[in-house]
Amino acid sequence: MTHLYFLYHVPKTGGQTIRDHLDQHLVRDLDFLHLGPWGRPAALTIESVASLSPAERDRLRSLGGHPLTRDFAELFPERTIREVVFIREPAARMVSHYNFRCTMRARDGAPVPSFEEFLSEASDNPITGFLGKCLGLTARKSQLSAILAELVGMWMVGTTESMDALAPALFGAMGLEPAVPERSNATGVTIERHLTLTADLADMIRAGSPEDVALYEACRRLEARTMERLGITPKPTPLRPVGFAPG
Amino acid sequence: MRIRHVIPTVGPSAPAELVQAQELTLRSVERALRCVGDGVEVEVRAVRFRDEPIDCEWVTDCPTLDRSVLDLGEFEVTRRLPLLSDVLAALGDPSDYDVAVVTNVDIAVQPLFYELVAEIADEGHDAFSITRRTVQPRFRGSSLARFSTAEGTVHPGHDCFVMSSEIVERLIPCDVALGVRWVARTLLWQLQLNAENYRNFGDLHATFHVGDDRVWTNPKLADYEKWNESQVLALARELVARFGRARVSRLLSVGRFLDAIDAGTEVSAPPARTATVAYGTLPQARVEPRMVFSANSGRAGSGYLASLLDESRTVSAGHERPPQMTGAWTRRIAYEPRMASYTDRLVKVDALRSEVARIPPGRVYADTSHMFVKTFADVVFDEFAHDRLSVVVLRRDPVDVARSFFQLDFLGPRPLPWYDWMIPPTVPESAFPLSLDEVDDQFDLIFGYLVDIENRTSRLRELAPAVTWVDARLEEITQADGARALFEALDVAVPRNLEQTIAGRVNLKERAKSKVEQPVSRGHVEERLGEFLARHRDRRDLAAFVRNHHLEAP
Repeated sequence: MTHLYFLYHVPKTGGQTIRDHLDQHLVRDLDFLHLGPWGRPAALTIESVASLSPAERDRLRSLGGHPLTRDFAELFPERTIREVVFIREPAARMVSHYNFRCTMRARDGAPVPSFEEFLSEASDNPITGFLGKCLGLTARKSQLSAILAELVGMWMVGTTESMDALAPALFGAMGLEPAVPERSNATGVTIERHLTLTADLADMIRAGSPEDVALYEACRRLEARTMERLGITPKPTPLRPVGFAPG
Repeated sequence: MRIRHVIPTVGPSAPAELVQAQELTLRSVERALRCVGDGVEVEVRAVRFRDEPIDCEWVTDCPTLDRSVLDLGEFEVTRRLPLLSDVLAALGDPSDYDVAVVTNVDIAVQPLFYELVAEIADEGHDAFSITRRTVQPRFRGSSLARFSTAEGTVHPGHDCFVMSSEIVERLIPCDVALGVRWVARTLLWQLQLNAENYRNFGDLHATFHVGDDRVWTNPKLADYEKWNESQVLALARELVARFGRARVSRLLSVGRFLDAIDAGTEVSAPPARTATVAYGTLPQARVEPRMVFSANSGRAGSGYLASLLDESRTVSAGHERPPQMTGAWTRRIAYEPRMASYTDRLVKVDALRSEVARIPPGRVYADTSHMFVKTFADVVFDEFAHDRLSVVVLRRDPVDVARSFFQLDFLGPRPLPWYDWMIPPTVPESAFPLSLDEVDDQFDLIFGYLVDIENRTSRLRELAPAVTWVDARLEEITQADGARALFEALDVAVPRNLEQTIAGRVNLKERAKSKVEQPVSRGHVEERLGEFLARHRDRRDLAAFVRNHHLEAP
């Protein structure tokens, strides 16, 4: 039986890029399940996945999307699950999230929040918090420690910045062509650039999310280990400006 | 099999401790030569500067070092350090030997070392690294036999390289200076790329080193390190040309050099022990901030210590800062050999770097978590310069600690989260192991745990003597004089209103104790401690606990 890939999707870390690539090469809802409300009115729940027949569950190669948590693993007791997660540099991720939010609000005709408003509504350490929920690790004080203990055992831990190097290995392992996926959303065509990340802004965002910064730093080490284990040649990180800086 | 072993030796002008280390090394090599069996020939070559003679008849004297790194660059502090390429040249004609061994002057060998080398080479390994063990750093009063038979601890670095003569012929000369970072890496990379069957032996007891001084972390050697980096960059270029980028990129620690090659620049990023973040926007301190940690058992006043230290205007202190390294980390330390989780636990170092990078210049970082001695002291000691580290060994009357543990039901039967934090003495990796037969009640577990912490602390202290160790007792630092002495010992600013700072800060955990409802009298705990000490009085690993808590030997 093939491995089942759990693609945990922290918002604004490149999950849509992976999803779109899978959608190009696999049959949606048969070979892979994207649990989010993508082309359907609501997200899939654990109950809806549980309602799939054993044959349907056996056919699945991956589960992904924001609603995916480790709890779904109990629906696949016979499968060996390979967990995959990508983490993005926290300041760049936050600005990307803001731009996404603004674009969505503008499309709906709603007022666009200032970044300060957006930031004040955001939780501290949103990456850590989100990943903690995915993994069922919600005890606040020890959450980062517990997450790191789980990450060291995952099949692939990467950073969004290295997705071009890691994604082909992921696709190859899933039996797809090991291609570098085209970035979704990264061109700014669909998501408008309301804010550009500056060094001062990055400092401010990081100061408010120290655990996310620590998590990201640790993930860079785990990413290097993932690459070494999978025999991936790291590609040099392009020296591009952070986030959506013009030019 | 013909083995040729090259050791770069030092002369009278070297520091006394290095001369002592060399004496020990040479004595160990002499013993090993006596143990060489039939079919193995060993020649030991001492490569040295001409004016640094060595008094040793049985080595082949090779006064072939005519230059040093000082002839190639300018450095703030003058250190006549030999170049690796010159040391390797002393191996001589590769047709005269089958296997080459290269070690530093302070790496002693076990009696069967050469037999082991021959055996591994016979098994088909054409290049390998044997990592050392680190033994107790006391020269006086310890004989070669005691050092040699000491258990010691595993060291993650590389300091003994063995390779076939064919591989020696293929080595690209590299002018890195010995005694500074990157020397081992340049050899290791070349062995890994050239060998058909390379292996790293990280779990043998074949070589050892006395102490863990880590002279290469000395910030005074920063410009030598820069020199070495420039040589490593040149080597990396040649390796890429010879072996291709894909193969080279898989080597450990090569990333920065490949980045520099791609960018056509020098290696500009700081060494791996300082923070690195994508896009390079975090402050990159060349000299790390000072850091203070604490060795304690828990319920010894570590929370109070953090709040006390944080009152200093030059300290940024916290208690159990994330990631706390509890839970699964604690269990791995409890049930696996320490090194099994070592590389995983380096994530704590990454988190630490991200934290200290944000500390204002001149501030001292402090975390008083009692997890330090259990789950992350080793990675911290391996990754940060020891002269920037302090550890407050915080003790409290063990009767009071044990009573508090019992009242909170730590190490007790209730499903409380103590098991995320504490290592019971009944687990395989306890530093004061007790069998189940030796456990009558919860107090045996509690006392065993407290002794375990004392033993872990002693072990760390021996391994890292260059760290500033400050002994403190809760009973003292809750008084103004004791608190002032602590600040002074740590060389940080004393808070202005020290008396007010001290008042009413000790965390009694009264609410938690009232939930547990497990009161116990102090007299009973005292009595149980006496019984425990009497029962284990013949155990040598109880000595540190008895001594450091000023308990009467039973």
